[in-house]
Parts: sequence; C-alpha cells; structure tokens
Amino acid sequence: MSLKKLRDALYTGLAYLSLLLLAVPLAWILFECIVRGGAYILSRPVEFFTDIGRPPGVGGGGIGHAIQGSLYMLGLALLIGVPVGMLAGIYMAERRDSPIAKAARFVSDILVEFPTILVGIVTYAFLVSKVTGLLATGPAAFAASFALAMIMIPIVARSVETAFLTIPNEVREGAYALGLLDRQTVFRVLLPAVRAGVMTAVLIGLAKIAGESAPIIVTNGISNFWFSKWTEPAPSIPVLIYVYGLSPFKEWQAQAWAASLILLLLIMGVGFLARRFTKKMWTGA
Amino acid sequence: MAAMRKSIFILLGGFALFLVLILPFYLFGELYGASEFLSKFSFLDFILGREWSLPEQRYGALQAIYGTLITAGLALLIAAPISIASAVAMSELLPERVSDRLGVLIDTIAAIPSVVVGLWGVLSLGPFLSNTLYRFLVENLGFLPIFQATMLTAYNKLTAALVLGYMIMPFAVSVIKENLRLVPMEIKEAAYALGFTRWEVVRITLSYVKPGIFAALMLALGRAVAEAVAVSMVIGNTCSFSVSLLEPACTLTTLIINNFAEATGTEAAALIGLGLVLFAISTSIVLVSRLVYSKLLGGYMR
Amino acid sequence: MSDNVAVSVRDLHVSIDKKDILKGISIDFPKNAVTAIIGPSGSGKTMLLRSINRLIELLPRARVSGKVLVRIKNELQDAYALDPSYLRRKVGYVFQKPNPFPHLSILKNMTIGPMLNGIAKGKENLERLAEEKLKEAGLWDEVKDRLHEAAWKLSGGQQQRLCIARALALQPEIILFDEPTTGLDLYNTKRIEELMVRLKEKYTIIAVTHSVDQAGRIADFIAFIYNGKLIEFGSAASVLKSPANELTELFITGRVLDGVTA
Repeated sequence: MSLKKLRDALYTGLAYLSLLLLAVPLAWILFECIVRGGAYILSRPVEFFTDIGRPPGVGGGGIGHAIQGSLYMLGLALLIGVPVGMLAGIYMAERRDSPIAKAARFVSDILVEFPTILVGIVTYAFLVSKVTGLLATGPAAFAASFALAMIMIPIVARSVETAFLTIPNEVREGAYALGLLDRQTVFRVLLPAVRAGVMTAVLIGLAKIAGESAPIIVTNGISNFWFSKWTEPAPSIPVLIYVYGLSPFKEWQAQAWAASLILLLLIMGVGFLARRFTKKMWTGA
Repeated sequence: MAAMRKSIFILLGGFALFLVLILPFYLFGELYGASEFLSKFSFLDFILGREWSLPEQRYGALQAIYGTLITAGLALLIAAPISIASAVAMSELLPERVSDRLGVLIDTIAAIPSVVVGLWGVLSLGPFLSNTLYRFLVENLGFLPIFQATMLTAYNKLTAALVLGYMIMPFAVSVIKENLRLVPMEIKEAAYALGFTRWEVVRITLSYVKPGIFAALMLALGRAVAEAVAVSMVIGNTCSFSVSLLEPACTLTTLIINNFAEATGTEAAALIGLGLVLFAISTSIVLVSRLVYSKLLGGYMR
Repeated sequence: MSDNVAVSVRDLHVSIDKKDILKGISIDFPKNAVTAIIGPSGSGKTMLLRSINRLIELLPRARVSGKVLVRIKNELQDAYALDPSYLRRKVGYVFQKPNPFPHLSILKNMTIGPMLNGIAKGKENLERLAEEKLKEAGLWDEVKDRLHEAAWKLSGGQQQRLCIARALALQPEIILFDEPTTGLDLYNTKRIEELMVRLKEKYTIIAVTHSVDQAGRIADFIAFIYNGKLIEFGSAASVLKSPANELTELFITGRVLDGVTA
C-alpha cells in the first residue's frame, strides 16, 4: 500500500516537473529579450524605432525599416486574406451541409497544418519566378504578402465559421420572416451579431502571420533597406531577426533580441485583444 | 417549385470553392515548379540520391529526408512525455484556477514566433549546451555512436531536436488537454469506486483517450517536419548521414530556406522537388491524424 | 373563388427526408378573421403554417407540392410564384420562441425590416413607423424610454410583443402565429391573445395553438389537423360544441389520440 502511495507521489512529482520544463525556456527567452534587447532599446530609445539598420562596425542603427516593411506586408496580406477567408467562412457556416462547405472544412483543416515554406515556394513559382513572373521576375514584397494572405485564409475562414455557428437559428428565421434577402440577412443581421467573433478571427489570423519568416524569405528574399516598391524585396521584423541573429556581430545580435521583444509584444498584444473580443462575443439570446 | 433567385450565397460559395481549390493549387504549383527538374532526372533517383552537392550538380534528397526524419522524430520523443505529463497535471491534478493560469503560459509559448525560438537556440541554448551537456556526453558517453563528435559544436541534430521539441509542446499539450476534458466523469468515478489510486485513475483516463493523444502527437510531428527557420538556425547546415546526434545535418526545409532565394534553373527546381517530398510527408501525417481522430469521434467518444 | 378567402391551400403535400409530414391538405382561410389550427404535437401544424409564407424552404430537405394562394392587394396569387422576400413581407410570421435580433436595439429591431425592404425612408419616417407599430402591438408605453437598449434585455413576453410589432412594421396583410404564447406567463398570454383578436380588423390571423382553450378564446374558425391531414374545419363554435368527427371530439375533450389512425 505504501509502495503505491510512493509511486503516486513520484508520478505527481514528474508531472509537475514537466510543467517546469515547459516554463523554463519561456522564462529564459523572455529574460534575454527583455535584458539584452531592452538594454539596446533603452540605449537608443528613438533611433531604434525610426532608424534603418547600420552595417556592423559603424554602430547604432534601428529597425524602423523593418517595422515599416512589416506593416506594409501585413497590411496587404490582411486586405487580401480577411475578405476571402471571411466570405468563405460565412458560406461554411450558413450552408454547412453543402458539399462545398464540407470540402472547404476538410481542406482548411489540412491547410492550417500545411508547411508555410511550401506556400512560399508555390507563390514564388507562380508569381515571381523568371518564367511566370507577371509583375516582377525576382523576389518581391507583394509575393510575400500574397503568401501570408494564403496562410491566413483557412485560419480566418475556420474562426469566422465558428463565430457564425454560435448564432441561434431563430435569428436567421426571424430575418427571413421579415422578407430580408440572403444578402441582407447575412450582412445586416448575422454579421453585426458576431462582430466580436469576426474581429477575433482576424486577430488570430494576424497573430499567425505576423511571426512568419520562412515564406517571406522564400518569396521576398532579404533586404536591409527601406521599403521601396512592391516589386522589390522589402525588410520585415522576423527576417531581420533571422539575419541579425545568425550574424557574428554583437550589436546586430543585440538588435535581434530587441526586435524579438517588439515582435513578441506585438503578437501578445494581438492575442490579448483577440481574447478580449472572444469574451465579448455573443451576449444575447 | 421554388423560383431560382440570385443569392449572395452563389458569391460566398465561390469563395468557399476557392478555399477548396487552394490545396490542389499547391500540389499543382509544386509539380509545375519541379517540372524542369523532373524532366531531366528521375524522381526515384532524386529521392534515393545519396548526395546533395551544388558544385557537382548532384541533387539527392536522401540526406535531407534522413535529417528531417531524425530531428522531427527525436523532437517528438522529447516532446511526447513532457506534453502528456503536463496535460495530465493541468487537467487532472491541479485545481481549475491554477490550470487556467497555466493555460495562458501554454498559449504564450505557442505565440512565440519560430524565428525567436531559433534566435534563442543560436545565441543562448546552443552555446550553453555545448559547454555543459554536450561536453559531458562526448567525454563520458562518447563510446556510443550517437554521442560521438569529431568536434564539439553548439549546432547539431540534438539542438535542432530540442528547439523543435519545445516548439511543438504547447500545441500537443493543449490538444491532449482538450481530449482529457472529453472523458466522461463516470469513467473516473467508476475507477475510483474500484479503489484505484489517483495514478491508476489517470492511467485509465489516458487509455480512454489514447487515439486522441496519438492524433495530437501526429499533428505535432507534422509541425516539426514543416518547421523551417528555427531548425535552419541551429542544425549546423551540413548534409550528412552521420548517426551522431552531436553532428550537424540538413533537412528538407533547411536546404530550401538556405538556398532558394539565390537558386536558379535546375537547382531551384530541385529545391522545389524537396518541397514536393515535404508536401507528401506532411500531408500524409495530417491525414493519418485526421483519420485516427475521426475514428475516435465516431467510436465510443461522442 | 370567394372574395372572403385570404389564404387558399390546395392539396398540399410536405415531406422531410422522404417522411410525409402533410398528406394532401386543402383549406380556405377566411379574411379578417382569426383561424386557429389545432392538433396534437407532430401533426404537421407548424409545417402547414411555414408552407404559407415559404419559410419551409429554409429546411433544405423539405419537399413541398400542391398549391398555396395568398390574397395580397385584394388578389389571390400563387405564393410559390411570388418573390419569397415579397411574400414574407406581406405574410408576417411570429415564432413560437420570441426571436428579436438580440444584439440590435429595440428600435433597430423595428426599423431594420422597413429600412432594408424600402418600406420607409429616412430616420424620421422609420422612427414614426416604429412608434406607430409598437403602439399597435401595445408595447410602446413599456419601451418608449429604452428604445436604444438591446432587445435581449426585454422580458420574454415583451420580446414576443416586439416580434409582433416588428412583423406589423412591414405592413403585412396576413400574419401567421406559431404557438406565440408558449412559455409565457398568464399576463403576457392574455395580452397577446387580446392583441390577436384586435388585429383581425386590419389583418388576417392564422394561429397554430396547442391549447384548445386558447383556440376557444381567440378563434372565429378552427382547423383540426391530425397526422398530416385536415380532419375538420368550421366555425369555432360548431367545431368546439358539436364536432362532426370522432377524432376531433377525442382531441378537444382531451382524450388520448395515440394509436388511432385517421
């Protein structure tokens, strides 16, 4: 009997230990970001956000160009990805038994697990390869935005679908009984009812693509200049971390930590907002 | 009887159809991109080709496949016990309030971009391990082939597996936790009624959701296979068939990410070919996981 | 056909997933009167009601055949040849469970239909219409100070009267009620019953009810449906006092109908 108790205690201890093993690297990463990255930001609090990267040895420099590039890339990606994902998601919820809705659900579940680097490759092959490139024949920022949009579409679609499925059927019937058209029912009654849920969907999608680097490296390549044209490579925060982190230069490494801190804050902020909206979702009925 | 009317759903259905077509579009894009290469070399020679060498224009995928399987597999081996134990601790042992707080911790880990985990691997974890654990392993367990190293390095298969393992853990934990939540209270009550201790009850609970755990770990494996940036930062990027975990390697994704931007012609097509292999491995992992999971949902768990 | 008919149903068959729900129903609903449809649960009452304004088409697996004519602008028209959106505006529907749009304000619940259907234009006209119809439904005094509150904050009875007012705002000619007082307290039940009786002056009322007593209180005519067929139809007094059919008598006297086939 006491042997049993001993074994219980041992296993319980191991379970708690595993939680600790999960927490330690997180604490370590946050510590490095805050201490090493924070120190760099504090040493150049304005320059860091407004200046462009400086060659190693020159000293100083910031990530202003990467912030700008990321904003452009994510902005265009949202512009493409949100409407497409949202409209597909609405269909998946409102015509849930139709073959297309079922297929879309199945494909989405595969796509959310799809290697993002492959999305980059396909985008490259179609949009900017030397053979097929229509707008550019080489790495280009718009291709990165397109790849990011493709990555977020299934995520947005699935979350919007979930949001619409929370609407009680009586609301739909009420709308149709008033003689509203499908279009009016969807956009004037149902969509306003789940505004918060749709916001959550967009934020979840944004959080997912904001940290992506592989598809950007593949489609857009690497740039350490200001954003110039959609058909040229543009800088971005994740790729800057990648390049600076792999460099042997101490000041670049410090900036990589600082940029990581900014990126983490950004993504956690978006995640926090998403949770706020989730809580606000659907107070009625 | 109902008159046909133009409905907004025709338009919405178009978007849903577009979503459906993305997957075949990806497959077509991969095949199309690799077509130049496939017209020159046989796909079988490509997959079984033992060497990847740019100067000699040799494009064999086997080393990369080996690197992918060994790092992803090892990552899963590391992540699985920790994930299962953590999920059990959170859903079975700790009070809900504490468990909810820990849920935020798990979400936070999941939210770290892979490039930041990679940065930590390059600048913190790798150098730390090479001076401690790796030195110890080489000096004391160096007689084992898996711990032999001609040179002590921070960037090798083990570092890659540790970084990958950490990246897939939060996902595995939350899916396993979801599964455990689905276990009906009656099952646990029945076990307690038989006089089982807490851990015996946990074992019953775990066996109840075994297919769900398997599906979750498969998906986690798929994520490890698909990861590119973080691995490429810590694996050393030297293709080889070395058995030692402390030697560098390359994977399907690292070859692509390191070379794609500058690649042209046959090399670019060969890299897209690697993508095709990744496509096949990754999609089949997801499909197997889905299959197991839908079987679970169709079986005793509803 | 008589000028006195508001809705004419001819040989109506409805099946869902190949299961027959309505098996050939023919009935003429009189204009400006309250007709109650009674029958045990599962007899097809609600489906009959939903066939009239084609809400039944929201059920993707439902199959409808037969003819439904509705009097709109004093002319009997084939309901299934009309634009369903127009039909539903002219043939209002009040559901068993109150279903205001919970996230919209009370006022917006009233104005969204007229606004989107182009019945009234401009904020002032819309709000005047809302006030008029809320008064008609006897809800105005209770909500006039809280028009901008979300509709889900109203009590169940108030929500149901809001739904009636919402239907009235579309200026229908026929209103279908599907057991509108289910789950409401006596006070609200009474108010809604009075309202239905009052509304028949301007509208034609067809109400499904589970309660024979309620039918007695509100109805001018009663239709008894059993097992997908119309068993009896006539003036309320004659159906309740001297039913022609044995099944009707069994039902209105509260005796069990299970196992009896029509």
